[in-house]
Parts: sequence; structure tokens; C-alpha cells
Amino acid sequence: SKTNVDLHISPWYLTPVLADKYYQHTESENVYVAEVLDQKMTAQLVKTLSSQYPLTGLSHVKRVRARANGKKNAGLEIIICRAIDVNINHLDSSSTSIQTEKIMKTDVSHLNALSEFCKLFVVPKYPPLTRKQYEQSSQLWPVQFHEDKYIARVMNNQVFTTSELNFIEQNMSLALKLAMVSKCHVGAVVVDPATKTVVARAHDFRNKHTLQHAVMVAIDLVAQGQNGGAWNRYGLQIGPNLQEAESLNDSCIKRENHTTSQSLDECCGKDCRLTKTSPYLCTGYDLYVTREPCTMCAMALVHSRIRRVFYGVSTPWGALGSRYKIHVWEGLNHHFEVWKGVLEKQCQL
Amino acid sequence: MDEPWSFDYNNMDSADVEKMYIKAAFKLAEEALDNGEVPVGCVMVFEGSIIAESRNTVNETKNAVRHAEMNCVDQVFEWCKKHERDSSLVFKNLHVFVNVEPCIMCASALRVLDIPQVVYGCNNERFGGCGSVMNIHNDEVPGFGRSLQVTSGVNADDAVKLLKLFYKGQNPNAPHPILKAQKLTELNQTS
Ligand SMILES: [Zn+2]
Ligand SMILES: [Zn+2]
Repeated sequence: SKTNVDLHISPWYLTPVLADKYYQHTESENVYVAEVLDQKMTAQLVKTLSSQYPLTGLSHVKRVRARANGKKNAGLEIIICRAIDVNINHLDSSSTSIQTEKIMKTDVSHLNALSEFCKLFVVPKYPPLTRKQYEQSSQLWPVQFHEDKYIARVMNNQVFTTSELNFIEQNMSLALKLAMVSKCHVGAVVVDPATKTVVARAHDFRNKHTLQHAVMVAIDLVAQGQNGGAWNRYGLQIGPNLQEAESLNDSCIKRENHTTSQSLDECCGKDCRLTKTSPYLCTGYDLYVTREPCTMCAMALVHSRIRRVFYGVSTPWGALGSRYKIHVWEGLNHHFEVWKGVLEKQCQL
Repeated sequence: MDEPWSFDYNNMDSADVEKMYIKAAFKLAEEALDNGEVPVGCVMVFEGSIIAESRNTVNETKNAVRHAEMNCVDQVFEWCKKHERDSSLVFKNLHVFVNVEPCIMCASALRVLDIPQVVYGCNNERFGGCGSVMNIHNDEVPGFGRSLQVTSGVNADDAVKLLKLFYKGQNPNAPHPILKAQKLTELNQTS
């Protein structure tokens, strides 16, 4: 049933659409830093300071660093507190230099171990998430870095093998073919990556029904494949159009019944808890769509628990990278991966 | 003199009319709850009469996008076909009443259809698209129509109570008690 698409394939580049936090420039926060005059006291100072002035929200920032003036053994510097903490103590938190004893509420031995004045410094406000951010952050002040290996692979385009990329291209080719028979030039397919099968093939009907975007149609076709669905019952345009499209182009849109539900119907009685084994919504499935989905479709994919979305070309109203990044929106309970650029040139229909 | 129990639409002030339609939506929400669905109901009103009324049917359809508002939109399309009305003009003059704040998807749908206003009961902290999670109702997005006028808090307490009932799983009328627990965990995420 797979259609071999005769397309002139021009090179395309798969690009991940990650949350903004991975691309952001290092933001900084002000702290007061003193020189450690008596290095034997360093451990003691760290202990005292972390109870007196815990670096709340700055746990990635190292408390002590070797002085950065290029010389060896140039001494140590220690963060006394965040500038905000000074503010709380009714001191001027914007002054670039402040008397150490005005901040430190402790005994003389501690004060003697520190320089008389502490100076305002900037440190990275957030923990670095990528190597690039780590390098930027380290230029301000030493920080801890726990590299997310998967994100590193995503950013370096090391997630997919060549055969996986071929599979991605094959699925998008199918979506593209569906887009070509659609009057609205958008096509979508849902794929079960575990079995490498196409679960639903859809295209756009928004010329007849404003909300029948390719993605919405695809989601309903998945539901129909699970013996659900709504647009089949409503008897709206989707039914007749499906046949129309099929006659235009051999089986270009069709829902593919999930094999498990069929066999369960046959072998199990009503008591069988088939809902436990049958697929739930789009869980575990990947969507291929020729262009970036709108906010409605993007949220429909959140509701449907999609696993990954691949799209061809960006749109100004797109909600998976352009206008919004709904797939990584904080406050939503389901997030998914998004990759763009598959057959980008061809998808510009 | 009008009898107090008969509706005289012309003599009601707009707040009463809103309450009346929100109550109609609420009844549909209760029906959803009785069927093990997230209790959301919606009515759509055109030229003073209800032309669409529906509720959440996510479990029934196995389609997570079948929210009350989306079902109503389909009914409006059918109504337009039957009455030979231009659907785009109908949507431009449609009033939407729903017991819970439309989610991001439904709010987007209302914007795409250029529906002018929505009246709802309580906020939707999980998925709300009219201020709770996103501001789809008045964000500027290419392709969206006018911004959506929002009236919130109409009979909000009732709506909150109904949702709480659902999430506690205390609905005695739910038909499949075994499936209920499973649905609850699913729908905790789906609403
Ligand atoms: Zn869309
Ligand atoms: Zn919704």
C-alpha cells in the first residue's frame, strides 16, 4: 500500500526545534566577592557563608575561584552573597564596592581572612544547559555543568542514523503526495515508529470545513483506526472527500485499522480489558506534516500525546517554533519533540 | 404581565441571558460527567437561539480533540448546511457559552473561525487558552481574526464543583466503574 513517490529530492536539513532556554545567551546576576587573604580559612569561610548567605538559585555557581588575573597562585576569591541579599540588609546593592564587615555578621577571625572590601561581580544566573552556554558562563565565573547527553546529540545532529533519515524522508514524501492532491496543499501522516507502519494518512479540507486542517483530520483518522472517531459519525465532508481523493490518486488517504483491535474483537469476549492493550490516542506515534501546524493543531497534538512531530516548512503563524513553541510550553503536562526542515523545498507548496 | 416562570428573552437583561445559556452548558457538562467524560458542555447561540449544543466526547470517540466546543462547531456547520446559511457569516455573529474556559486548542479554533465572544464559568488551569496558560484570545497571530472577547466567572462556583467531582471520581452515575479509575488517570491529563 506504500506509494512510491517520484519526487525530485533536493537536499534537506533536519533541524531540532528546542525550547528557547537551550539557545539563550547567558543571563547574569550580581554578587559581592571578597578576596581570601588567609587561604587556610577557606573551608571555614565556605561553611559559614553557606549558612549565612546560601546562594539560593545559584547552586550551579562555585563559591570560590582562583583569581583570574593570569598569574599562578594569585590567590582565591569567594562569593560573600548575592547583591539582592545586601539589599535586604538595607545597604545599597548597586555600589560596586562595599565594606566586608558591613555584610558579614560574624567573628573577627572570619573578617581577618577576607579583604576589607568586597566588589560587585556578575555570575551566570542559570545553570548552563549546553556546552556553548557552559563556555559562555565559565567566562564570567566557574560553574558546574551536567551535560544532558541526549540534548547534546540533538544539537549536534547525532540522533538519527542514515536509515532512520531515509525513513523520515519516506514518510514526508507520503505527506507531500497527500498535500499535492489537497486543494489546500497540506498533507499529514501518522506513523507508528515501533512497527514502522503508517497509521493514518490525511490531507487538509479547510476549504470546506474551516477546522479540518490536515493534522486534525489525521488525529481523527487515528481515532477511527481505534474504533472511535468523530468526523465519520458527523457525516461531514471528510467522508466523501476521502473517496474523492482516493479515486483521484490510488489510496492516498486512508485510515489503517489497527490490527490489534481487530484480532481482539474476534478472540475476546466483552469482558476482555482490551482498552489496556489497545493504543491510546497518539501515544508513541510520530506525525509528519508538510508545514508547521497552527496553534489549534499544535494543542490538538498535545492533547493527543504525540511522540514526535516532523514538519517541512515553517509558517509565520506556526506554533511549533515560529509564533509559539507549544510543544515545550511550560505549564503544559505533555511535551514532545519537534524537528523541521524535512523535504523543506518540496513542502513549500 | 409576564408570568415569572416563562422566559421573555426581550425583558431579560444580558446578565440573565448569559446565566441562562451557561446553565444550558452546565446541564450538558453534567451529562458528560454521567458518561465518564470531563464535565464540559457548550452551547452556541445565533440570532437569539441555540443552534449547537454539545459536551466533551473524548472517551467516546477516542479522539482527544473532541471537546464540547469542537463538537458544537461541527453542529454549526451542519446547521448552516441545513438552513443554507453562509457559515462564515454565522460564525462572525455567534455567541459561545461554555462552563469552563476554552483550552488553547478550542480558543484557537474560535479565533480561526472569527467568533466574536465567549462567556465561560471557571478557569481552566491546565489548558486554558484565554489567560490561564496562554493568551490565545487576544494574542496577535497571523491568520487569526479579531481578538476574542471574554467574559469569565459566570456561575464559576458550580463549574468548579463539577470539575472537582470529576477529578475525585465521585460521580455515582458513571456507567463503568472499572474503567473509571483508568479514565481518571488518562483524563487528568486530557481534560
Ligand atoms: Zn492547524
Ligand atoms: Zn478545548
